[in-house]
Amino acid sequence: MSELASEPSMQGREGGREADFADFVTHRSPALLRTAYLLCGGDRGAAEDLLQEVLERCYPRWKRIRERPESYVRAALANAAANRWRRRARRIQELPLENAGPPIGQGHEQQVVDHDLVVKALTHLPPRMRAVLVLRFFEDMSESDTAAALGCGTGTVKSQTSRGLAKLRELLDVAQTSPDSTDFVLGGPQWTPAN
Amino acid sequence: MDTGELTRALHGATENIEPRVGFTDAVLRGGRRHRTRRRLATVTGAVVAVALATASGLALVSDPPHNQAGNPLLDAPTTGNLAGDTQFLTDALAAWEAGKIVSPNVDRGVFDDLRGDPHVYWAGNTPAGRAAIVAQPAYLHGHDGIGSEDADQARTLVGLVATDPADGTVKLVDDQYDAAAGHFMFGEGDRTVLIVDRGAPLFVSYEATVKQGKVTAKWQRLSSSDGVASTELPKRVRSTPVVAFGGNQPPPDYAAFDGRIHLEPSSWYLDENTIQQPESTGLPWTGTELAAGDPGGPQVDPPGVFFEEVSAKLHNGSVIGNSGDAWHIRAGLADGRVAVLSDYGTSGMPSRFYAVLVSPDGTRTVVQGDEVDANAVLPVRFRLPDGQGWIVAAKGQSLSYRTDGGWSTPTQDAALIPDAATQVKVGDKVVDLSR
Repeated sequence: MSELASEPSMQGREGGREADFADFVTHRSPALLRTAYLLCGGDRGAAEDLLQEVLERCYPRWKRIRERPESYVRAALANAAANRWRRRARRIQELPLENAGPPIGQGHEQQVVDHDLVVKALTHLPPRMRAVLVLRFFEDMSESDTAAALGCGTGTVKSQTSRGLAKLRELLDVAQTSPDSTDFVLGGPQWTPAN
Repeated sequence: MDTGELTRALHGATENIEPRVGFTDAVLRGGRRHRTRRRLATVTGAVVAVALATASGLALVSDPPHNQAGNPLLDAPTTGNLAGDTQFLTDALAAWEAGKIVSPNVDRGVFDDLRGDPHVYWAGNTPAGRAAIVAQPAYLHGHDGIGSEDADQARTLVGLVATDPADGTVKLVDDQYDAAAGHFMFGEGDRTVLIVDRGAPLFVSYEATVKQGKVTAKWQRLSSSDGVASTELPKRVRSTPVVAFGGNQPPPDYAAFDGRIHLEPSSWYLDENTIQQPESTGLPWTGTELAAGDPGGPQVDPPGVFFEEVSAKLHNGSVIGNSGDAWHIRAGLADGRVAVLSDYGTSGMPSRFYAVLVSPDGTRTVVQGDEVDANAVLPVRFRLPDGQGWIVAAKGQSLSYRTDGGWSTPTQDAALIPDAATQVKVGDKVVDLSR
């Protein structure tokens, strides 16, 4: 059929596809890395590992996802981050909140400390809840887009958002009112042995 | 702190984050490896398994040399009720050798520096059939894909050989290299849990209660024998995580980290690494959302509902990946149900159309359609069950239909048409509806 005859060679298509993919990685990695950084609770190394792994897996699928790659990659990042606790040998060091230090000082210095504190507070949220907050309030995604990205319903996104914000506020309150505290673990129910 | 302040804080915290130099090149190298490995996996696995079976069987009759001292995974006599089944042990070692070639951990260099022979630690019957745990010493060198806690040290690689429910063959269904390696979920629906007993009490949790927003996990103590603990989970609620714990007192929720044993479904391992990902055999309608029929009916999140149900249907109850920005058509049916239609491709097979029917009471039913023909004049012509009509769609085209008489008023892109319709006009082309 003439349509096939007029197509570029396989080698030419693959070369063009790779150049296209490389261009996407080069130009969009900074923004994607920032998302990954938050999803990993401020662990820079883990964020680079996560993004690299997700992008590598996108490469063989590039033809399929090239129309809207960024939304695909963001969704993959969010899911990989939300599920990363399941992945063996990918244990990512979660920074203790107490290391963030109290929000002392004023002006630019305080802003920097506050930003750091918020990111470290994120590490104390369950990964999926953290992913919901990052997609909603960093990526500015709608509830339905967030639900689609995470493969859940909008009701789940709403409840995770509400609970996540409440926990975040609680953590930040603890950090700000007890700057010398070394324990910022949220209160919760005690374990009850199954009968 | 309001949400605006949170947004500003998150942006402020990331404004100086940039990828390292050479990041793009590293991604490309890794991407090429993924592509090559996937292609290799589809053609060599079975052949290699047969070729290596004889050679690796030798390890059964001699002590593994150069093994790490005092490691029962490597040194202890094989346990389990199939420990005396020499043929099965031989098959297990052969499967381990074959599986190492296509394992996802090849990319991380995990098998690059093996320091001894493989050894069957345990072999026995499980609810998912015969299974064997195979271990082999290795030295893990620093690698982009290996966490710092695993790099540059000796580790015992631990794999599980069992039946892949997707094709009924015995193969390596998971392998692990972390310090706590030897924790598996496998078999039909990934419902069989098998964990190497290292001495600490073992627990598993697959359900939790939620009261006033607080999650409390319910834990079940596992009994051990012959060096492993196992259980069969009930049919799972897909959204509930399965978590294991080694230690005296399991934590009240899933957030605590110390002592947690990472359970990952082996279906993920198998799907990710032995299956050639189909390349765009679905409709190239990424992100397209279309509606047809009655706009009322049950409120659903169409991409989520479709992906969750169809993925679970095709992956033994596990939802793999995410819906991304897949296209879909939402159609409100005359009987009160809502149909969510899209395509799905996996296992190297051509994409097919599926519809998820959602009843007002929330009941969901998956209906399978034909293979996708993206070049057809009318790409979507899906006949719904129970006389609920046809969903037809051709993006960018005007559509009308007829039963016996004249053509209906045209609609754009997608339509829900009567079951009795015989032809659809797509632009100026007429398509017969075959039955």
